[in-house]
Amino acid sequence: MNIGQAFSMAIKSIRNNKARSILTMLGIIIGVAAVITLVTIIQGYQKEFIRQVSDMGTNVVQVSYYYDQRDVSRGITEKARSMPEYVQAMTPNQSNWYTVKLRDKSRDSRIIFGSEQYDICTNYNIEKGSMFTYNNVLNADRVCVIGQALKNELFNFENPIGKTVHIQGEKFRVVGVLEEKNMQWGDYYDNICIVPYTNNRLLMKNPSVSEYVIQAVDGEATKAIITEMENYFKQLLGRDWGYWIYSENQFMEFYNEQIALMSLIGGGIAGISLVVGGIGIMNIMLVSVTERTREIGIRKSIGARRFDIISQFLIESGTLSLCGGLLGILLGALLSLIFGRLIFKDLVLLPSLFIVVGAAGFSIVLGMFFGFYPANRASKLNPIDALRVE
Amino acid sequence: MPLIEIHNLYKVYNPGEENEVRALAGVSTQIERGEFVAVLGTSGSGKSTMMNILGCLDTPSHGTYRLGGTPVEQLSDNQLSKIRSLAIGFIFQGYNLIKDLTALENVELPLVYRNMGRAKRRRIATEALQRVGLGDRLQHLPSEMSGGQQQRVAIARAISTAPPILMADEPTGNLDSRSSREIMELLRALNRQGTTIILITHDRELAGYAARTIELRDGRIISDQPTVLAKEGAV
Ligand SMILES: Nc1ncnc2c1ncn2[C@@H]1O[C@H](COP(=O)(O)OP(=O)(O)OP(=O)(O)O)[C@@H](O)[C@H]1O
Ligand SMILES: [Mg+2]
Repeated sequence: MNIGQAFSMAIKSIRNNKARSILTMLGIIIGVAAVITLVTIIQGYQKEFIRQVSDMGTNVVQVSYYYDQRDVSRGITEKARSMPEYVQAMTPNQSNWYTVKLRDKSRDSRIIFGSEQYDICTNYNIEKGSMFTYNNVLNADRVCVIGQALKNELFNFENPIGKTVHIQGEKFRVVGVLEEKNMQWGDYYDNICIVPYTNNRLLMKNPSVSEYVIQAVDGEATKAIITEMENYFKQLLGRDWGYWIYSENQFMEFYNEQIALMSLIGGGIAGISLVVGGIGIMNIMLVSVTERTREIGIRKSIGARRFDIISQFLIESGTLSLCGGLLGILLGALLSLIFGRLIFKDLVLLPSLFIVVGAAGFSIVLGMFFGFYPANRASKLNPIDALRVE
Repeated sequence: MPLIEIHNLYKVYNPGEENEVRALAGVSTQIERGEFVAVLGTSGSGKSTMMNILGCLDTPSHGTYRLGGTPVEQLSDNQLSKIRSLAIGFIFQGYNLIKDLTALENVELPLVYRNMGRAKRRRIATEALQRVGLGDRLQHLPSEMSGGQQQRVAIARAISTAPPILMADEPTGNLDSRSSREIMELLRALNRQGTTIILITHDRELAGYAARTIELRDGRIISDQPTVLAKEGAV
């Protein structure tokens, strides 16, 4: 059978019955639009989530110990150093708000008590100068690395490296400036000043360092680090409470499960509407076969084989469904844009090429699947009986 | 071996019911290759019924039909389609054009089922329409043409494939006498080129174009003889 001819016949019969065709396609349109919107929004969530997490740093384990005033920093540091195959870097992460002064200018900033690896563990880049060194930490040197917001406030266009600022009346020499983090939380992450954590006794009334961040080499390593740290605290305290160990990766697993569940439910709903759409197509194809019994009789009487008739009607139902699918894709893209705007502020959501091609292909298959029964029925007609139908 | 051989053919509509009709009641005959046969008979005498069976569109209730020596009742659906596609051209009494297709597309259709390329079948179909005097109606839909024009499209469709057997059921039923004679001349020319032609008509004059006339009445053959007029080369 000539595919081009069957195809143009199909287009003709869709155009001749516009209202009916659109109504028939409606199920497919809605189903495809639902699937596309859903998948695109889920992908948007994933993108957004990955972006946020990677802003914070991936494969990070956070450890807190607030139970008593005991200084666990040595122990935790040693423990971390004992497993270099898992740990890439680690730092205390204690912070306190103090006023930082330069001459007549001042700003209330978050002073962070960290190690020389603070930038690695919390995903900062150095813009100018460098982080302080391990030796600075050992010697409790009065040096600091400042964030963009603090730099802008105090130094404006002046080069801050080598300058001295005052924190709590103590002099600190600026050795580095951090790049801007630019996250959704105002300048919270940029209005900071990192000092060697060994300055805790100098600056804090209550000098215990309770929070730590460990950068793991990869996702698997976070699990090992969590286990090891738990063992450390259990041994140290003789119980399994009073400390807190947490990784985004655990949350990510939970989050992925939630997304999978959401996809399943949404996919189920969309699937049902697609089946309903398919049944609509089957129905209309049965009507079409009945209406065109005479035409089928003519075709068979001038030499069409069963295969020719079947392929003609399959092409027709496939085309009908594909048209619905394409309209559904358009609608889905539009809905994705709208919902994308509402849910994510600065993320333009559009269906990926893979989904578009997949949806188009799927609607052809769907149309052919539900068109097969009517097509097969048409092909079995006896020519003379078909010709007698008026 | 005769091209067409029917033996004791019966066709009973609605058997066993109140409105039972014996459209054919024991018809036997043979038709050789290259013959031009007219089937004559009053309305309702069973002409179309016989033709449909000969054209492999319908099956007899009883009796045998051998086409080129092969018993037709043993053929599969696809084999019958192949015969209809390659061996037989059928002109229906009721034209049977597809209403959504133009004249040209209708005439092209049998060629489509022969898997002929687009350009070639376009050319052949156009030629066939020109032969029946419709060269200027290629893009018209059946609904845009007169009864006689539709009938001629149906004729063009049947001859476009140059079938070895042409079956024509009242092919000139809707044409004026001049157009009718033109179509008859066309059939005669095809017959001279070797096409076997079976022509149904109730018009004795037109039957004169055939070399042989079979007359049906109430589903039986009442006469089967060489046409007198044809021998004399009349008209
Ligand atoms: N499908 C059918 N069901 C019942 N009876 C039928 C059917 N088709 C034909 N008949 C009957 O069979 C008989 C022969 O019909 P047929 O169509 O063969 O006649 P015909 O010779 O072609 O007549 P005409 O010259 O009017 O076309 C008629 O009496 C008709 O009523
Ligand atoms: Mg008839």
